Amino acid sequence: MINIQDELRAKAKELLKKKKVNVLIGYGSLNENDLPKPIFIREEKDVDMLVWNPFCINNLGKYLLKERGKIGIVAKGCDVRSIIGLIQEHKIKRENIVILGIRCPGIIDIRKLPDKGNATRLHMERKNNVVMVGGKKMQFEEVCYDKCLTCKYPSPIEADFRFGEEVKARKENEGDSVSKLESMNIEERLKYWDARFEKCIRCTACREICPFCYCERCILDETIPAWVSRSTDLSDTRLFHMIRFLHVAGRCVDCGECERACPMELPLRKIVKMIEKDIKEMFDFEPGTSLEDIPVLAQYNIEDREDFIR
Amino acid sequence: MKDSKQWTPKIVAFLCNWCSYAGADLAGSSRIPYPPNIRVIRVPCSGRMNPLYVLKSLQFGADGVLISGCHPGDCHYSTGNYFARRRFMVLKNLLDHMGIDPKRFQVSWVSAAEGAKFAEVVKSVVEEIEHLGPNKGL
Ligand code: SF4
Ligand code: SF4
Ligand code: SF4
Ligand code: FES
Repeated sequence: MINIQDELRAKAKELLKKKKVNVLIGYGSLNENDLPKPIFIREEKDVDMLVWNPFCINNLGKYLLKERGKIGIVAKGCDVRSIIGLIQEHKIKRENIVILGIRCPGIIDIRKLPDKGNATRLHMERKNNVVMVGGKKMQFEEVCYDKCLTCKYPSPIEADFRFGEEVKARKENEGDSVSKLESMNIEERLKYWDARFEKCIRCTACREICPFCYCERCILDETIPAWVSRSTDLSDTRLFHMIRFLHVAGRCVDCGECERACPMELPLRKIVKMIEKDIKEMFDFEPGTSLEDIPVLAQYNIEDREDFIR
Repeated sequence: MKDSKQWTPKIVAFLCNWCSYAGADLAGSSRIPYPPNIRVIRVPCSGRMNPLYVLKSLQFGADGVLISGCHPGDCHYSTGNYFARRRFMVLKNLLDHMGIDPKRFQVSWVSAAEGAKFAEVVKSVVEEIEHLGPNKGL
């Protein structure tokens, strides 16, 4: 872990010094007690704030849209997929970004640590699959983010420089959570979501953090006409989420940021997963896996399914 | 359905100007009867259909939504219905995932010459939605 950080800093210094990038977006901490946060480094002297540790969860891809010129970015395997998606959508140009890709061994969800990680995380040690934390031995699978359990592309598909050792795709063992939903009948599913949507406070954090929700004018904010009322009425909340998920369908790369950002802990990744599965089944398409792809809903196939059409 | 005596489904039908709208017209002028449950909105192409309109109709109390466009290969704008078809597939599935019966959302291809088919489509859609009962709202 330590050497990834050293290598990252060395590369960052070099890129800034040679003016290969004018800003480097990465993870930064003020001291070792500080959880890593997004950091924008413009000068060589600040490079020592750059960190890499098992808590670097943010998908920094969205910040590419806020910067100009040549941009360097630290990106894990999953984050790289959203960057590929943004390139496919012509929001950024490949030649304007330098990807410092991390072969990601998985990220720890501090909410799953004893004491929510407040103190324990500082003395955490990880050896392969065993994590020693707060004097307790835990399996990595117990403490990592759900998305890491099923990560198919932990090693970046696209990068200019790569750090860390090759990581194999982890196996699919989260499918159960979705298949449970799929095996419910339709009324049960409605009830399931009612119970969750009821908690939503419509803070829109899930939209703000999504790399694909970059619209300058979002339909969910329109007031004349107000397509989606801002009330937390169940029906409006359902509409809000359905529209947002329709807009990211076929683009969403399961970075999991919407679910992580949600203060009410709505299981948004369950929707993400179901859509992802549909897209794969219907169009044999995986978002953000190839620079050559055209976004799946921006193309068609004459042979597409017709069985639902009268 | 016992209470269907009072209740009959309201169905919003978005019809493509170049085909199904004319098809509906033909059904009318040829005096082919079909149930009066549909409220027609004319759209320039099935490709103009934002899935939002379907959801909004359901939210505002429609019991079902029908979108009807030109047959594949016949779209006035060549490919509008091909792109639309993909979006409709995604929407159908999402309705199902959210616990809303996807049968409330129906799609058909009806050309300007298919007055009889239009009447047939409306009849079967109305029957199917009658069977589902009133929409309790999105
Ligand atoms: S919808 Fe959620 S999981 Fe998908 S790309 Fe957006 S933030 Fe990531
Ligand atoms: S919800 Fe839709 S309109 Fe709003 S930002 Fe996301 S993609 Fe854009
Ligand atoms: S982040 Fe959570 S609470 Fe906020 S709008 Fe999204 S789902 Fe609702
Ligand atoms: S013009 Fe009728 S579907 Fe495109």
